Amino acid sequence: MRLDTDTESITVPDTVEELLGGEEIVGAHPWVVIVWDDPVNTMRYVVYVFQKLFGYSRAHATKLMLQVHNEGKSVVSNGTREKCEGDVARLHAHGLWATLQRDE
Amino acid sequence: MYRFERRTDDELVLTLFEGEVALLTMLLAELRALLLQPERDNAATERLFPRAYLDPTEEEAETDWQSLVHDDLVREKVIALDAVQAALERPSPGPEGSRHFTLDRAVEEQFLLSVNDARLAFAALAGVAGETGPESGADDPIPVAELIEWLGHLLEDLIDLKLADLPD
Repeated sequence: MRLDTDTESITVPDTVEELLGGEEIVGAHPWVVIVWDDPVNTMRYVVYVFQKLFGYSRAHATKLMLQVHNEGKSVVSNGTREKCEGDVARLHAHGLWATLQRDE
Repeated sequence: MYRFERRTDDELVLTLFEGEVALLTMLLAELRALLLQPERDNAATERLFPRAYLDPTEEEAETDWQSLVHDDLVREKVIALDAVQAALERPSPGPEGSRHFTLDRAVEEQFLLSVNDARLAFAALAGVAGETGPESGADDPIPVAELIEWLGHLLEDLIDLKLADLPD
């Protein structure tokens, strides 16, 4: 979009994403990290990893672990794509089966 | 006998019987060899290095992510295994034919991750897919189910201590 003033013309981005140079916007396109159930990791190990990596309370980490166990998966963190890729790498380093995807 | 005892804030003592030391050393060496295989097409490495993206339209992002992360993940796991192996090579006498091993904070975390990786890898190779656990063959020198259960006990004993270090 081009605006003409008395002295100069200014090009105004059409979208906020364009304004930010194509960077993804937190909140507009949030990503989520999902941990999937697996038959080998123990429940208490999963609680430990959630507390260690994300600083969650014992109660919250246990709630997420039970969701993984009972429902097959749980969203454990969210944010930009880059942040979620980092979280997935840390979870894989700890042996948890984690993926990231756009929030639906 | 407790397997783990925290002596000081930075000193954890692990007690194992001689047979357990030999078994753990062998398993961790096998895991190390698996990690360093150039091929990644076996069940163990697929489990230890799963995809980050399930969406098939994100294949390029998956490739980029794997190229960025995979080698570092392998390196970290091998470093952890080597640190645990080094600790297992420095025993001191324990009661009733057992051995004591001293782990500092860094090595106790590496021990936890390495034992968990071993459980995941050998369970994957044994084809564990459900909650019933692996089937052990009659000819197995060490039944896989018992192996994974033993590693699980070792892991759980350490998790007791690690969870106690974290806030409720």
